[in-house]
Order: sequence, then structure tokens, then C-alpha cells
Amino acid sequence: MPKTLLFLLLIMLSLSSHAQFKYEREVRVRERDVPASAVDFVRSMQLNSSVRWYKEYSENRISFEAKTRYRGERFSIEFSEQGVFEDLEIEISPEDIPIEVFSHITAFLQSEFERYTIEKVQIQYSGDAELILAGFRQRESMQGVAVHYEMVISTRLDGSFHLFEYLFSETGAFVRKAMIVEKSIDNIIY
Amino acid sequence: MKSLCLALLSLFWVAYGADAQGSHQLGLMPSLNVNLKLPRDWSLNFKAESRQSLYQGDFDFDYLLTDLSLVASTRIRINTTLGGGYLTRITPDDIRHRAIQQISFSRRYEFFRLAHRVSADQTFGKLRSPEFRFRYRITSEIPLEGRTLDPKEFFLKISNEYLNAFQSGEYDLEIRTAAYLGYALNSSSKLEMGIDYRADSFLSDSPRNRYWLGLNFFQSLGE
Repeated sequence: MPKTLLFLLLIMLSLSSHAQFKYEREVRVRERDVPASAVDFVRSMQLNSSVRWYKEYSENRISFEAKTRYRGERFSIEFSEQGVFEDLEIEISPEDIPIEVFSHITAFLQSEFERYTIEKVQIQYSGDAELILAGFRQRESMQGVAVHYEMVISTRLDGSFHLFEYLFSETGAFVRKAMIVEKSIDNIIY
Repeated sequence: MKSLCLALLSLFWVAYGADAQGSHQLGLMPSLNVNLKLPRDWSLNFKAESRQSLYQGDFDFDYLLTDLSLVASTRIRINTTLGGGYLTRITPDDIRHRAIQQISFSRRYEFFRLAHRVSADQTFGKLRSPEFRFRYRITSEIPLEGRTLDPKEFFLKISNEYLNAFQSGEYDLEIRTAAYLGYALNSSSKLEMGIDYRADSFLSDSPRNRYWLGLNFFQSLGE
């Protein structure tokens, strides 16, 4: 029986090495490997909390992302490969979305799904980096920048559960959606 | 991280508190796990696991057993899976049959995944009286190279399990702590290698300590 198990293991290893998948991946990087302009931007936010830097590889681009916590909120700041600011995302609760905007969003989601659950919400600021930085420092609502709401929704379609990522405008208008490909967790539930 | 600390504390507590006169066994425990995803969130999980003893009082190789199991599961919520199945345990002297029921809850945190598994099993065989167990296990998967585990990346898997066993009117508690270094070969295959420590018979005069060197392969199909 042990020899049989070893044989099966070798067969499985050879089969898995031929599988081809497109994927996005990220790796944690040291601050010294991040463009200086990106590091300077995050330092100027004066968060006074530890920052983790990640380099993200997708199909046609490379970007850098800083992740940190500030006053109990999760922050994510994304930069291009050259260190140019792209967006600031802050994780919020659905209750933090203005009522009229949230009503617009839920009306849309109810037209899409019979039942759904909001798993995560992020407010996203993009546009002029200096305006965003100034608005953040002064703790004011950011004027003159693009604001979006990014939501992760779970729902059941055709008997299967799925996760979707939705992007809504500042007024709650639908912008785009994408299905999230879930990763295998067999090794922690069996 | 909290689950890692809890698992390590349990390991040290159990190992340190183990009676010096308790038995110690070291062995190998390779396993092959294949999960077939079916339509409408159903899946079939097949597992083959073998145990060989290398040391029990003295160094001597001894084949102990092979477990073959099949569990059918369905996802009842986005993070919750309900399953039931059957296991055959083949030893040199006996064949035992086990019915399994389990429910698992998983959650992805910012830098790691956590899963809770609550299960019950009932084991029957010709040479031993029936055994009934109730189990709880917490497992965390911690990517070592990013926020999420991607193909061609390493990870750490830490688990801690408590098994309450009832046999012939007697109760025993078994505590398991395992730590594995894993590698995601691709998006559907994982390989893990590590140590699975098990301590039981605390309430008797001869506690038993077992150290299994595990080598696990997980293959997901149908995704």
C-alpha cells in the first residue's frame, strides 16, 4: 500500500505540472524596492503606523500597493510601476455610505439578485494626488477628486455561491462588475 | 497569528506536561487528498493516508495502517461547508469502518485564512468496541510571500485539534497540533511537509505522545 501511495503521488505531481492558468499574483517587497515617489507620498500622509508594501503582477501591468491601518481603518494606496499615485482605498462599513447613494446602490443590486450579502466595502479616491493628500491631512471631504465605492457581494446563482466585485460611482451609479475567482481551501477544511 | 500562538502554546503545554514515563512514538504519515468539484456547490473529497512507525521505544520500521475516506460536501453558505462520508481503516489485523459528519467555516482575513471544523465520527470493527468521537479543529493558512497565496509560493499551515473520544463507557481526550510548510504548485495543487503531534490518554497513568512526519498532497479537480 505505501508503494501504491507513492506511485499515485508521482502521477499527480506530473499531471499538475502540465496545468496552465492565467493568474494575478503579488509578493511582499521591502520599502527600498519601491519607487521613491510612492514611499514619499505614503510618508507624507503621516500615518505613524507600519506599512506593508506589495508588488502586484497582473496580465498587462505591474503596480505597487501600500497597506496599513490608521485609526482602526484599513488603508490601501496604489501606485503605478513608476511610483505614480493611482488611488487611495479605505475600508468602510455600508452604514458609512450616504443614505441616498446607498439606496441607489441597493436598488441596483436588488434588480440583479434575489438575495445577496455585502461582504466588504471600500471608498476609493483617485485623481489629483495633491488634492487627495491635502484632503486626507485636513480630514475634510475631498473635493475635485473622483470618488467610487467598491463592494464585494456574495450571492447564490444557479445553486452555487459566488463572490462579485462591484464598482459604483459617487452617486451610486453602476460602473463595472467582475466575478472573484475563489482559491482552493481543501487543505484547511478536510 | 493568534491561531499560531494558540497552536504553539498548546504544543508546548502538552509536550511539557506529558508524563516523562508516557510513551513516545515517531512515524511517517503521508497522505493524498483529491477534491472533485461538482455542480451546484457539491464536492467529493477522497483521501488516502498511511502511517508507518519508525520509533516506539526503539528504532524499528513498522507499517501500521492505511485510511481510505470519501466525503461528500455541499456549501450551504459562502463560507460554510457541510459534509458526510465514510472511512475504511485497514490494519494488518483488522478492518474498521467509520462514519463521518462535519461542518466547516472558513474566513479570509487580511493576511491569512482561518478554518474551523466541527466533526463527529463513529468507528466500528470486529476486534474493538465501537468508538464515538466529537472533534473541533482550527486551521490557519498563512502565505509567506504576499497577502494571498498564489501559485509557486510557500505558505505555513498551523492547526490545533481537540478530540473527545468515548469507548466502552470510558472517555479520553486527544490533542493534536500540526505545523506544515507548504508550497502551491499551481492554482489547484498544494504540497505540505511538517510535523503532526498528538497526545492522548491524559487521564490514564500512561499518556501517549505521537509525532508524525507528514507529507500531504492536495489536488483540486473540476474547477
